[in-house]
Amino acid sequence: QAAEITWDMANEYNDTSIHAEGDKVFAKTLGELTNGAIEITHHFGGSIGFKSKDQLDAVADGALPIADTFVGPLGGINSMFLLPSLPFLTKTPADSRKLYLAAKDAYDEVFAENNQKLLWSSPWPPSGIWAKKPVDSLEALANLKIRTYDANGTITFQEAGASPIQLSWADVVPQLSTGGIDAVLTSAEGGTNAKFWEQLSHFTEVNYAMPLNMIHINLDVWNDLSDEHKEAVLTAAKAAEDHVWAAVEKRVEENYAEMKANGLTVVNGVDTGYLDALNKAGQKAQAEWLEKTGAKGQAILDAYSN
Amino acid sequence: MIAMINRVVSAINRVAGATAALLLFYVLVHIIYEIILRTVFATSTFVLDEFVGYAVAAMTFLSLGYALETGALIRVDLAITRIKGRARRWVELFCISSSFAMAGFCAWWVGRDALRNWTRGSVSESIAEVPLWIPVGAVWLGLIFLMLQLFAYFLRVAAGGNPIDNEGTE
Amino acid sequence: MDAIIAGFTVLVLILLFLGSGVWVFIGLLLVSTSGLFLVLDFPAHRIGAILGKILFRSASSWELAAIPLFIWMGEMILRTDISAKLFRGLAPLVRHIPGGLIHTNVVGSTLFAAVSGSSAATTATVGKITSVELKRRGYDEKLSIGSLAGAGSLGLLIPPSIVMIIYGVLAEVSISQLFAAGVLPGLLVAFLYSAYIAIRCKINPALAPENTDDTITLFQSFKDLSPVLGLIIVVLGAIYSGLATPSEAAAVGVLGTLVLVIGTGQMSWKMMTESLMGAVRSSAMVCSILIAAAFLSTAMGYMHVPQDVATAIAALDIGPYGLIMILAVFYIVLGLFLDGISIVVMSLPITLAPILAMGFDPIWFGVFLVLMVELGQMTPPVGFNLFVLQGLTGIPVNRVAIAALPFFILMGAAVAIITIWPEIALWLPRILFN
Ligand code: NA
Ligand code: NA
Repeated sequence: QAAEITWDMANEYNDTSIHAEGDKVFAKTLGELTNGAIEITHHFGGSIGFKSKDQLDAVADGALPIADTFVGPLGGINSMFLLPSLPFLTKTPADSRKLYLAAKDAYDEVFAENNQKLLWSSPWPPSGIWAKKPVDSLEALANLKIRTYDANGTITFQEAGASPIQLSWADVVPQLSTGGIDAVLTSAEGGTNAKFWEQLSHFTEVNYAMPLNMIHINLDVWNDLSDEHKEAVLTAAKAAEDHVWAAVEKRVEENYAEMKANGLTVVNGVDTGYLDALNKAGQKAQAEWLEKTGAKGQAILDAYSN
Repeated sequence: MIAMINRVVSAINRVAGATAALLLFYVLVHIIYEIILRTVFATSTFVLDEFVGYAVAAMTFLSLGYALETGALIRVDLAITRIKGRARRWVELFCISSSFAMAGFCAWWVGRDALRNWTRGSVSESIAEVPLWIPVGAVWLGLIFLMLQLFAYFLRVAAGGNPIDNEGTE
Repeated sequence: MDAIIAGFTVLVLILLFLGSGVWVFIGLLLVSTSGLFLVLDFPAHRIGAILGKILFRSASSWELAAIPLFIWMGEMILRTDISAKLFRGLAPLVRHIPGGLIHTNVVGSTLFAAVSGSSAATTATVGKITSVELKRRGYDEKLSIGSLAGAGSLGLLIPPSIVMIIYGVLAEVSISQLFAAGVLPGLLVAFLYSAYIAIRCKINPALAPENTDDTITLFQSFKDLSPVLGLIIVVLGAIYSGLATPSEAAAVGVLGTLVLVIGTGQMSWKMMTESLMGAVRSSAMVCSILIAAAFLSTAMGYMHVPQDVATAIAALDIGPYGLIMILAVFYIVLGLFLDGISIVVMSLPITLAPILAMGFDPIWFGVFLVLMVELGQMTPPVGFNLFVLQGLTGIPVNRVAIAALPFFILMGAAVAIITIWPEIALWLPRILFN
């Protein structure tokens, strides 16, 4: 049976990423539930031309019916999107999901303001420090030239005495192999995909943050769906969400196994005094976020810590 | 009248082209500055790829009118250079008007994005928090200059003036 | 099959809009816009929303920045005695090879490819310097332009390379190993080109005039070459010492050229403004076409053309060589319309899996893919090296394409050679990394 409805779904990340896995589960489940009436074409690796930061507007305008978006870069449009990547707020997938649920209403509201509907969220494995040595003390961190991926990371690692550097992702490997930078702040997954063990020897687990992707659908597209189709979309979204949140823990283990097989040392269980110091360095970013979001932000953090 | 419009547009093109040249110089300075910061002082401007990206976008679009006027924008002139006289003029007018329509369509939608970024106060995600309407607005302005140039050129060709040919080897 | 109808519609639109003489970048926007409207029946507001976002996104990409900088570097070299010296210095070295100074296109592009990561920048910079000089000295224009179109694309095969970085990220293979794997195939292509030029000129000496700079000594030759060699050493040194990233190398090149120009007393307000304005004009042309091509790729993505065809190919049950042959044809067809980066990102999610399943090395496939992308730079209707060369020389794009044809075929031969002997690509990374 030919599909009645076809959606092009954008995703800036590779088709082997955890987010792509979730998209595929969604598409497959949705196809089964609707007998193939809704068909999704994936555009992984940013191949349709949009970056995550374009996708809020692209879905709002109907340029894309649906998208899987890393929400960090949208923080300049709405501060709520900065929450998942706040430093040292969530350290485990369970924390991260709890924070997501605490903020779900606020996210729903932001998406509704932008003519769209939030379907599910997809977590990044926790980011740690890839380097040529264990970075398990403030001394080891001092003046370390570390590539960070967002403004919060820059602020936090500056506070902690490191020398954060901003580089485009494509420049990271050349700079590592020539010693232009010493370290990279990213997840075990990110470093495994880029085969960082060719240049680096240690991954220090500091659980800096677990940022989120969110999957959002254009509201006009949603409203045009029949009730059964709406039901099917929600069921498929739930299946995708359950899949990715379960997969993220497995992913970290798999990554660690692959890293060790390639001779890399995973440093975990680092000194809590060090983690506390890092945590303190991250407070500045959290305070700034609270300043931007006021009582609403505070209410979310309160709900999360209870 | 037509000559005057062309002179005014030409002046605008030159100013926009000179602005693009300054932006190119700025790109050079920012990259060198970043290299020095990183290697000597172990720090960063934290905005290199963002700012250079904006500069290249602004540079490209601001110089479009200037590049078109000076014949630097290439076209597949296989057919048009073989046609002469009145027919050539009609073909040229078709090219200009369809280009004007396309540039206008682009300007409308890029302008809409700039306006949206202005009204909701969107800023970039870097520590510089650049208001996004500025770089998007620069691209929009470049498209407007391109439309002005196409308009002036239309008048000139319609009045029997010479078409612009590819510049080729200097 | 929908993909064939869509592809055919786009082809007709390209012939209509580009053929009628609309400026190439606007023509590509017209093709994509009307393609989305005709093939997919998208409403105008949806097309506009896509267009507005993609234009700004592709225009403001960091990867684009190296192009205007390298073009500026070429403009400065052209406006000083550095380019004349380069030719005088090379003359005694290539004197005994049939074809003489035409080989500067190949040698120059190979050297410059080691500095720049893109083929548009390589073709524009080397072409800016050589095309005028070769024409002035009476060398055969067709052979000269063709070799530029072919050798310019070495920018992607010889490291550093933007396309290899993108492939490495997508296919999750080591970028350092990919870079190493490109070196020998790059030299192979350069050798094939030089051999072809020599044979053509041996058969027909009229293609290359007698060399008259006979009196120059080897020492003088070295002195004349030293500015350009110095620049290359500075830029390579900056990359391999970790001072600059490959994307930043262009700025180091410009800075080095500025120092050279000031040091040799050739700096003037006139030379500065003329080179900058010349760079602005050429970059407006090259970058605007790249931006429009990005929108064409997005439009083709919405039409599912690359995905559908790649899926059909992946489903075929043919042996490894059959698969490579079909993929080669597929990539050449994609290369007619799309730019290199788009070709890689759109097709890879589908083609990589069957290739690996057939037992091909992912590093080897990266080199294969880069060669395919380079072939696409030389084919009309959308071929960047052709556009750049038309912009430089004023020779219509169809004549540039015909001149490039023998070099297209030679690069195709190189693809066959590395398919039969994959070791040409894989030997160096193995030696360096194991
Ligand atoms: Na290169
Ligand atoms: Na082509």
